[in-house]
Amino acid sequence: MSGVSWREALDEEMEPMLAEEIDVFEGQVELRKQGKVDERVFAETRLRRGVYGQRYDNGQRHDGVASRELRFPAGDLTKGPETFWDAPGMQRIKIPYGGVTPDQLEVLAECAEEYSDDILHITTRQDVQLHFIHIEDTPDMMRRLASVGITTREACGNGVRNVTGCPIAGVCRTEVFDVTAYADALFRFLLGHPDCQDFGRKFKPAFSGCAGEPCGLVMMHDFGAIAEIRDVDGVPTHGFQIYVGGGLGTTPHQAKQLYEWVPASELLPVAQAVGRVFGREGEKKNRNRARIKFLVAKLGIEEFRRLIDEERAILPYDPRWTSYLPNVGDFDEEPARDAAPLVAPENAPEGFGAWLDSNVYRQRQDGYVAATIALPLGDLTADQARALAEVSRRYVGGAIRTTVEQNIILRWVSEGDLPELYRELAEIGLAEPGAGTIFDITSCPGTDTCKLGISSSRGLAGELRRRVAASSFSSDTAVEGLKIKVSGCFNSCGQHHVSDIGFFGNTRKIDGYTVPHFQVVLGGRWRENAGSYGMAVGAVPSKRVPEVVEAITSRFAAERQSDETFQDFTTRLGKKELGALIEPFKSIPTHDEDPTPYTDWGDAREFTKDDMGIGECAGEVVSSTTLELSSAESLSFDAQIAFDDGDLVRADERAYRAMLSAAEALVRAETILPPEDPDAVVKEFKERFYDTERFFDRFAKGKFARPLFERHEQGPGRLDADSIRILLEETALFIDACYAFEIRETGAQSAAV
Amino acid sequence: MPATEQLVVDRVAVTVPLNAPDGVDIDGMIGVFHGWIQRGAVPGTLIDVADYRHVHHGPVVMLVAHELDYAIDLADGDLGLRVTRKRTAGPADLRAAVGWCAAHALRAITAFADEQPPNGSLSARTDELRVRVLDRRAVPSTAAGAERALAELGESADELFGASGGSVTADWAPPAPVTVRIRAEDPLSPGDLLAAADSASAGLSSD
Repeated sequence: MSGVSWREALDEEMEPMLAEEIDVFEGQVELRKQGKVDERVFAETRLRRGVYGQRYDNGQRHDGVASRELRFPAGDLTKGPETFWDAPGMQRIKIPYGGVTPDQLEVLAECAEEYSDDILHITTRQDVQLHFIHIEDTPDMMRRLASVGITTREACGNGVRNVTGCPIAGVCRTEVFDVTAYADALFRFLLGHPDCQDFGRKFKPAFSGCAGEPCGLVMMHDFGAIAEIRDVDGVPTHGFQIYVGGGLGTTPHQAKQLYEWVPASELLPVAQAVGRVFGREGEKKNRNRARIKFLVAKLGIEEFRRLIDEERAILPYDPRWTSYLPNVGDFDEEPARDAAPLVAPENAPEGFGAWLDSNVYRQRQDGYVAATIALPLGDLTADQARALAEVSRRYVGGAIRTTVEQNIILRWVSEGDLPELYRELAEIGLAEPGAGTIFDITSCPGTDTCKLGISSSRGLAGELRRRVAASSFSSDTAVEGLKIKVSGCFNSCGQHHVSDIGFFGNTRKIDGYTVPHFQVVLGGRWRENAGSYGMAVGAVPSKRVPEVVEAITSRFAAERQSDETFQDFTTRLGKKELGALIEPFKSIPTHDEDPTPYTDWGDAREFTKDDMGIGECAGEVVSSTTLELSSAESLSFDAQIAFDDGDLVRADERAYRAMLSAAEALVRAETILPPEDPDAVVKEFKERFYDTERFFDRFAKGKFARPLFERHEQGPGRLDADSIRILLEETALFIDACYAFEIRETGAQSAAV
Repeated sequence: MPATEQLVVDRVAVTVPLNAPDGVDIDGMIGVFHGWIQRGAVPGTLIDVADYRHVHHGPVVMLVAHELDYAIDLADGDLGLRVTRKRTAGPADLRAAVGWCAAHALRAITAFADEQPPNGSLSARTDELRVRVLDRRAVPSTAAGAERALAELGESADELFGASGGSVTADWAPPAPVTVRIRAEDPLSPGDLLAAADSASAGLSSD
């Protein structure tokens, strides 16, 4: 199929809306290359498509001796402030509630080996991330993902991020009900929702099937829903406890209860109301205070609730709020194979017993289990992913979920299949035991790829994992059940606040050198949906962290009282005693005596902080109007390409869509529009901006808007080259006039706020 | 088995198997690759070292560059040095791109000679090259795609190992990328193979 582009090859495979969004994004990539889109606008545009920056993308890298310039072929062209065009970046791919099919897993594997470095990385929010990707490869990659129903939209940037949920929803023994259908509905409803385009920061939703288990981690999320059934007029009714304002980061907040219970029919409108209040009232200028947790803390939950009630009351009815409810049962899964009892094999594969003990969860459905594939640091190769897809087809009919502990779960495994499943997983290196134990360490990307990383979280996690495997720590069963989570900095992507033993990266000056350290955080609660956060007890040099783990686990094994939990143990010892426990590990030899502690785990270079860059977690705060105008510009560009290709029908259609899109951008800034309604767009635009002469400029008056009205009222005109050429020019002028209008209205000198 | 027209590809990877008479220090490879960046020991805009030692049969340790990646490769369970051509670097014709990757891998392997033992004794095994065509647009993971790649790489075998000494076999099953082993009847010296790879790389890139 050489010569056929992915766009052509997959045209029939993608949902039209997804296909168009990707076309628009590809147009924006081209426009940025031509210098026709501001770099800040382009940065937010790509972030909202999950295209993220990566370490060294500012063209500087310290090689252990000195900071060197990376000279990329595209020279000074950037894809954002201080972010070079050719520098490799990260693609975050949304996997709602972690649900992924074998077909999707295969396409993810293809993308990993064709555009990335052969590795799929599962994140702590059930996403998949691919690293070292060139910006110009992203549109085709998105098309390939879209062809199997995956979107990267709003995977980064100031929008609604992935909706996470229990990976064992539907098969869990303790859940109230299966939250999958509701998580899916919220994901679809909020994706690209106009009320969620003007946030000052990201917004992370989560679902949990019960209050006691940690799977959903609701209490550390911006918006959380916990399943609960209540009796309404004698009818058991599905609904949710709603929480808002949780979050980790430098200042962790526990979520506050917004509503004790709402019926499922209110889930989406309540989320929409929360989005509108956050978009309107949330901080925009100081991004360090822009998450919804700060707004909830500032207003207090009572006042916040009052605002939500008020907003909910005036929301225009949307049939999508409840249209999914009759189809909730569609998410029920059927096993691929008949249930059969586990018969202990005479010649059990080596390691089978340990794996069975730690990685297999008995489902509530008799005869079936969920098997966890413990991925080291959340990584698997493209070959492994492909092989896993095939294994999952045969054994579980494709029932796969990613987890917030960076693992993968196969659901609906017949117990009788376990020995054979284990053998097949072992053949592809995916049968490590120890899931959910001290061996199963979570880590953010840290200094490996993240611009904000201070210390090597993955390096440390890898080293601790090796030491656990080598039985370097206590084998006490209580110790085995502890969780270790590592973040490369205070931003907490490794979720260290909610682990028994947590670490986050920082530095100290010793002997005149900057030395990588980790702050030790003890006693966080994973259960009860991340029910409480740990306490920081002091920082130790990175290379001494394994000794700290050994000291803490040994002390816990030796001194815990009967069935005392680790949380109770750390509370009993207190911060002072815990600080004293780690004190001996704060010192290191001088650099002359031993330079090793002056390097980080998995990195041979002498440590430096020089490689840290400006984070893109929050994205650029760019108005949604500016972003939509940029999309309109891309459609106009697409029209020009169609014209150049001689496709006058498409050129006409694209030009019209471009004008419509620009008009819609301005209208949406003032009112809510029904989806996909060109008549409403033109009517509102005319009444608000043309008839009032607000759109008029001193010289041209309203003439730039007339081509939109004419094309809308009259439909396609003469499809000859001259007519279309004129339409294209008029389209470009209309979009320019829309930009000028926005600047006049906002009083801004720049489109970016 | 002449190919009718050039087969243009974006991404292709070639693995040169390694002789490791004294074993290999995988952990030490991180330092080796960082040293290569410091010294500019191998071609490319050298960006960073990626540590995948924890992954089963993976790229193990990678030296990531803008134009290509170098990796200690255990994808097939055998130790090798893999070079992956990325995007528009070097020649785009499959045969020339294979030559280009092989030449970069062979040159990189010579750089091991400057390292401490045991990695200092790593050398190229010249009886085989493993080629993965990582561009499904150009070479889909189908029987037809594999046939086309085999036809092209059959000529590569002749170019690299001499008219009478090379053979190709597909070592692949869908949906994996088409993978071809190019084997030598009579292995060349690393220097001769490098010269042949350079020649293959340059021969078609100027077409």
